[in-house]
Amino acid sequence: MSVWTSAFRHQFLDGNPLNFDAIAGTTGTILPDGLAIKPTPPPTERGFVVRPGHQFNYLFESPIQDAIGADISLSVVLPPAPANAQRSGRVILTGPPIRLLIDFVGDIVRLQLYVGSANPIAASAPILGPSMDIRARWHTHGQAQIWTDGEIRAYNPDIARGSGLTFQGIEFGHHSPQLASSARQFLIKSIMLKVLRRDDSARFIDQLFPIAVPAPLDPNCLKKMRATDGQSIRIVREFMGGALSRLSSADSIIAHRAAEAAGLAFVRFMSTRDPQHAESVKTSLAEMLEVLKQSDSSAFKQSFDALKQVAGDYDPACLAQLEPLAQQHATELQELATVLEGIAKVIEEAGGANG
Amino acid sequence: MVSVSQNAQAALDAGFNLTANLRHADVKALAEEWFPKIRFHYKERFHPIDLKTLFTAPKELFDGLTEPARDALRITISGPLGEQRYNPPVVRNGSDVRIHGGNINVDPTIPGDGTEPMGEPPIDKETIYSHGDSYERSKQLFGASDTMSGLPDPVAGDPRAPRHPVEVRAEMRFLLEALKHELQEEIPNDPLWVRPDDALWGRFDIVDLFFLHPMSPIAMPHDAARAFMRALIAAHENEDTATQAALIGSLDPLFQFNTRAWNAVKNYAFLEFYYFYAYNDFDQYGDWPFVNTHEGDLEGCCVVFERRQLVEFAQGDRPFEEVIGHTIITSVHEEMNDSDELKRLPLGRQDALDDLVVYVAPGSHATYLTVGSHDFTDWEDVLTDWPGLLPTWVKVLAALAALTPIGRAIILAIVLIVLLAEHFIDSEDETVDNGVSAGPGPDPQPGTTAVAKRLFVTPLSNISLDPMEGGDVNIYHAAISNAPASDDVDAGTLARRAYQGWWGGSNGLISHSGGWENKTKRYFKKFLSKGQIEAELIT
Repeated sequence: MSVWTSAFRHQFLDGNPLNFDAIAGTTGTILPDGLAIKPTPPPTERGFVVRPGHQFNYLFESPIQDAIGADISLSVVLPPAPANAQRSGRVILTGPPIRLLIDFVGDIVRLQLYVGSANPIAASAPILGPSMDIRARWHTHGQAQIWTDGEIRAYNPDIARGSGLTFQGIEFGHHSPQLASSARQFLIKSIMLKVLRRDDSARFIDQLFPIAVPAPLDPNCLKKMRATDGQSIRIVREFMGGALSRLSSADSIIAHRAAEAAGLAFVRFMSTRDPQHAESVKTSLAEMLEVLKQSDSSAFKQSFDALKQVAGDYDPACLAQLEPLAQQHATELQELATVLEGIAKVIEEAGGANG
Repeated sequence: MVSVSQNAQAALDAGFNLTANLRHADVKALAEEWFPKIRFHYKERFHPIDLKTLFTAPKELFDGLTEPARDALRITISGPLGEQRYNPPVVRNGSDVRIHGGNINVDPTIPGDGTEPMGEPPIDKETIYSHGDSYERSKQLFGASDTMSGLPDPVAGDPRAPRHPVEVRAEMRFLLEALKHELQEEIPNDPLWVRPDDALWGRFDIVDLFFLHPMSPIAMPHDAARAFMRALIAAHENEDTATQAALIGSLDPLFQFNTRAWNAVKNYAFLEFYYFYAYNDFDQYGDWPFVNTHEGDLEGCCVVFERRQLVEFAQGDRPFEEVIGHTIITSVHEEMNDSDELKRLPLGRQDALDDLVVYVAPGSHATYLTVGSHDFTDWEDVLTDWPGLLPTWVKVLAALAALTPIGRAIILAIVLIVLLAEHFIDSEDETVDNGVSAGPGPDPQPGTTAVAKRLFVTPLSNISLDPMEGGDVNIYHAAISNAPASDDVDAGTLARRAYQGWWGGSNGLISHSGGWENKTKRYFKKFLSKGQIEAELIT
C-alpha cells in the first residue's frame, strides 16, 4: 500500500534491455543497440552507459494524467576520468516536461530540475566516490528538492505551484543521438520514477476502510460530487501552497513534521481503531494548523469559511444514492464519525479563533 | 479436508512426479551446488527456519525456563470451557486446540515429533498455527539478540547472530509436470479418484496465460482452457506433433495461443528455495503506514534450469558440471505488487555461480538481487480506475450524516487528511552486504559472518513404489504403508508441508498471516514476462 505510485524502474540486472518494470507502455528508441539481448555482462559493467548516442525512451500506453508530483531517483557509477572531464546526461518525463539535467564536471556534479516552464531549481554537490545516488522530487504545492547521496542539496517552495501535469513517458541518456564512442561516460545502475496523481492519496485513505469501489453513483452524481470534492481540495491546496511559500524554513519544517505525524496517526487509527491514535491526530493537526494560521491568519480564515461552504454543496439526491451503503455500515461508520467529529472540532477551533 | 494418507494414495494413483527422470539424490546435489548465497541485513532479527523448528524451538526453550517465565509465554484460548492456557505453539480450529507445545517431542530416539495430526481432519484451511502472534513473543522464541561478537547492538560487519541455524527448503518442479498435475482432474479407469487437496498439490493454475485475446482482456473460459492444455500436454508427451498442431489450429480465432508460455513450460524447470521466517517485523525498520507485521512469513527465490540439461544429466549424458543455472527470480512483497526481480545468469558456469546472490531486506524479508535502497513499489496502483476524489466511505458517512453540520465537519477533516497523505514518504527496503550470510558448500569456519545452513529438499520425484518403473523418493511415501523408507521422508514433515492452514495468527487489514503458497506461479509469471525463453534449446 503506497501513496506515490511506481511508474518505471530499471535496474539493468542482465543483458536484456527490456528487463525492467513499468506501467504498460512501449519501448521506443534504445540507442545505440536497440532491443538486442546480450549475455549478462560482469557486475561492474551492468547499467546504461550515458554518452553521446546513448538514449533510452519508454512511452506509457496511457499518459499519466493530472500528476501533481514526480520523484526521480538514479544510482550512477563514474568510471575513472581525467580531472577536467565533463560527462552529461538527463532524465526527461515527456509531456509538459520535467527535466533533470546532470553534469559531472571534474569533482562536482551539477544538477538542474525543470518543471514545465517554471524557472529551474539547481544544485551543485561534490563527487565523493565512484558511485552516487541522485534524487529529485516535485510536488504541486510548489516544493522541489534535489538530493545527492541522501543529503538535500537544493530546496525551493515555489516551483510550478498548483500545476497538474500529464506524463507521456520517460527518456534518459545523453541529449545527443549522435554516437561518439570516445566520449567520457557514466553508468546508470538503476533508475526509478514514482508519481503522485491528484487522486492517489484519496485512494490510499479509501483502502483503509474499503466498503465500495466504485461508489454506487450514477454518472451525473459522480460528476457533481467530483466537482465538489475538487473544489474543496483546490481551496486547501491554494492556501497550503501560499502558506508554504510564506513560512520560514524552521516553521515549514515544524508544519511538515506535524502534518506527517497527524496523517500517520490517522492511518494508525484506521488500522487499529485505537483511540490513542485519534488523540495524536488532534494534537498534531492543531500544531500544524497553528503554524499555518500564523503565516496569514486572514487567508486561513477565508479558506476555512470557503471550505465550510463547499462542504455543504453536496447534492442531497446524490447522497441518497449512498444511503443503502450507509445503512449497511452504519455501526462502523458511526464509530469513525465520532472520531472525525473530534478532529473537526480541532479544525473548527483553529479556524474560528482570531478570525 | 481428507486425511494426508488419502491424499498420498490419490497422488500415488495419479503417478505424482514433479522431477521427470531426475532422481531425488540428484535434486539434492543440484540444490546444494546452486544454493544462492543469502546476504541478510546486519540488523536482521529473524532468520529463516524450517517448519519443524516452528514447533521444536519453542518446546526446547520452554523446557528450560522457570515457571513464571513459562507462564508469560503461554497462549490463552477462550472457548466453551472458559479460558485455557497452552504451551506454545498451538495449532487450533477456533477454540479447538489440536496440537500444543506439550505435545511436541524433541527426542530423536522416540518416533514421531507430535505434529503428525496436522495431516488429519479436522485440520483444514481455516486452522491456525500460532506461537503467540506478537513481536515480543516471537523475539523470545525465535529472535536473534546479541551480535556475532557478543555485543547487544548490531553494526555493519558485526551482525546479529541467528538464534537458530539458517534453514532453507528447496523444491524442484519441472514446469511441464507441475502443470500436468495441476490440470489432473481424473485418472483413467478410476471414476472415484479425487485429486489431493493440500498445500503440496497443484497451485500452478496458469492456463489463462496461454490464451491471448489481441483486442481485449477477455479470458478463455477457464474449464475450456484447462481441457485444451490437458490435451496439448498429452499430445506433447506422446510426441504427437500432428495433434499438437491440430489443437492449436482449432483454437477459437478470437484467441492467440501463447507459444512463449508453452515454450517456457516445455523447456524449463524451477529449483525453488523457500525461506520461512517465524515473524515479519517490518515495523522495526520501515515507517508506518507502509509497513506490516505478522506471524509466519514465506519468502524466497528460484533458480531456473533448462529442462534438457536436467534430463540429459539424469540420463547420464551430461556431467554434473555442465548443468548450469539459467536465471534467478526472487520474491518481493506480495505477488500483486508485481515487484519480483529476475536476472539471466552469465553463461559461464563459475560466473553464474558467483552471480547467484540474494539480499534479504530486514523485517519484510523481501528478497532482492542487489544491495541498496529498494522503493516499495506497487505497479497496479497507478492503473486503478478511481471514481472520485474523496474516499467512498467519507461520502457514505456524509450520506449518513445527511449534510448536517456534523457531516460537513467530517468532510472538512477528511479533506485535510487526504492532502496530508500526499506527503507521506513511502517505506523502503534496505539490503546490505555486511550482515550474516549463508551459502552453498560445507559449513564455514567460525570467526566470520558466514554461518552454517541446513538445506532440506522436499522429495517430489517419481512416487511409484516400483523401482523398475522409475520409482524414487517422494514425500507422500510417508503416508503410504508399503513405500520405501528414506531419511528425507517422515510423517511429521509430510503433515507440516501438506498443511493448508495459516502459518500465523495475524488477521489484520494490513498485517495478516497466510498459508504455504507455492511460489511457482508467481515465478512463472515473472519468467514469462522478463525471462529469456527459447523455443528449442540447442546445447
